[in-house]
Amino acid sequence: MSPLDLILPVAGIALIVLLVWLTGGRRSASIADTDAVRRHLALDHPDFEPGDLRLAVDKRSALVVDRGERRTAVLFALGDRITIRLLAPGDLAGVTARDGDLTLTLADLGARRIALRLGDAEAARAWAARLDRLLIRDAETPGGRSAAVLAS
Amino acid sequence: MTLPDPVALAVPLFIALVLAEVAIARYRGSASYELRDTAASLLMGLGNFAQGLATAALLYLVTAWVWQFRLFDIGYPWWAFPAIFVAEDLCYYWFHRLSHERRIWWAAHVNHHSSQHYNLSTALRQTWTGNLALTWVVWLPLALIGFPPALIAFEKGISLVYQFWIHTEQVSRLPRWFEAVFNTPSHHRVHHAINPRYLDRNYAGILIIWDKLFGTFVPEDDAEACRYGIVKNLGTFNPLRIAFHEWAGIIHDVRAAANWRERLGYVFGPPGWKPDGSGTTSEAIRAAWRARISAAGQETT
Repeated sequence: MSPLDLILPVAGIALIVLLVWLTGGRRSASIADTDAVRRHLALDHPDFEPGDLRLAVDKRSALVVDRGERRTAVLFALGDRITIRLLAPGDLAGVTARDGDLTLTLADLGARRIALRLGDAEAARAWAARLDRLLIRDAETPGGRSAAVLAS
Repeated sequence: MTLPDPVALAVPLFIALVLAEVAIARYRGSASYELRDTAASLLMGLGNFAQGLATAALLYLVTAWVWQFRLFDIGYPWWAFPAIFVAEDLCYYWFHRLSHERRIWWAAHVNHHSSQHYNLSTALRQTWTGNLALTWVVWLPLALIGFPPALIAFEKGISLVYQFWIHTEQVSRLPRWFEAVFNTPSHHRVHHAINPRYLDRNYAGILIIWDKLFGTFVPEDDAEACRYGIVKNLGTFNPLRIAFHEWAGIIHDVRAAANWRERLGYVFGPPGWKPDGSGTTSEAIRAAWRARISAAGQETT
């Protein structure tokens, strides 16, 4: 193996990333309105019937509870795409409400932390309380430490 | 006989084609490249290259060991090349299908599907853990039959290089005869799609005939655009999380399992499997889709 075998891929990566950046590759998805939230859900989770819904003020995330209050969906921007996670009890390692921002810490290596700018301290606290039932409890936490203590 | 390494030879071509696709996508206004997504895919490719270097000798030794017990002395006559082309592609089909149908191999393969984009950089979003998950055992029968290990490695490289160019939305359809026999961008877009109609279909490497033979072929429907990614899309561009998130999921589920049936199900069952049958496996998603379509009085094919 020659040094060129390593230098070429690394230089190629740098060149590609530079070209993507120069051609406007740094984009961020947004959710236009509450109807757009419902459209995203209908596409990915057609059996999910949206009930209460809160769109973040920066339009980069949203929280939705289904009509039966059984499931909660969180939508969030990842680059120029919108990603959806359906949360079930035990899926949250922590919920923090602070100054109108809501931060969800998921027990999931694939989507660890989701920040929602709700822009309303009271609404953030109310949603944090509502999501409390999704937190990992002592018995479910291998280390025995309650994840609920992360909520404030 | 000394055979070249097709992948090493193709690296400059990979780079040139990605650069060309970025420019073409920009020109056509079909901007399919996102900066961090592309960087993550390329870093996954680099990591795959590194793990390949680290494990190549071991894999070669294992293959050579099996080859000692070969049934035939095939060597390198002219007909060995078309024969290995077909035989390796059949092995690839089953490796790929099992990588979608069994969670332990899905954990190694999921990263390749984890981008919500579909472009040539996605082709390079390759596994870091496939060799650790022993996915290479699928090719060992080729050595047992008598194909030389170097010929098997060469053909695996050819297959990987072929599959690079089909990761694009810039090519719509190719001539009908080609679409009928070979894996194409259209067939492979279906494979990367999460629409229930398309989910876990078209596992082919080079020849699409295997999917037609084993009942896993679905053509791309112009009326239903492909939506790319995985059923539970990732919320990260971090290559370490991309590479290991499903392994972490397996460990989490196995630790929480109540008995050995559940533990085995979480490891060797289909992705999304749950002991109570409520899991969102591909088949469950497809069944729910069929039920919705049926209720709406539409056709599912």
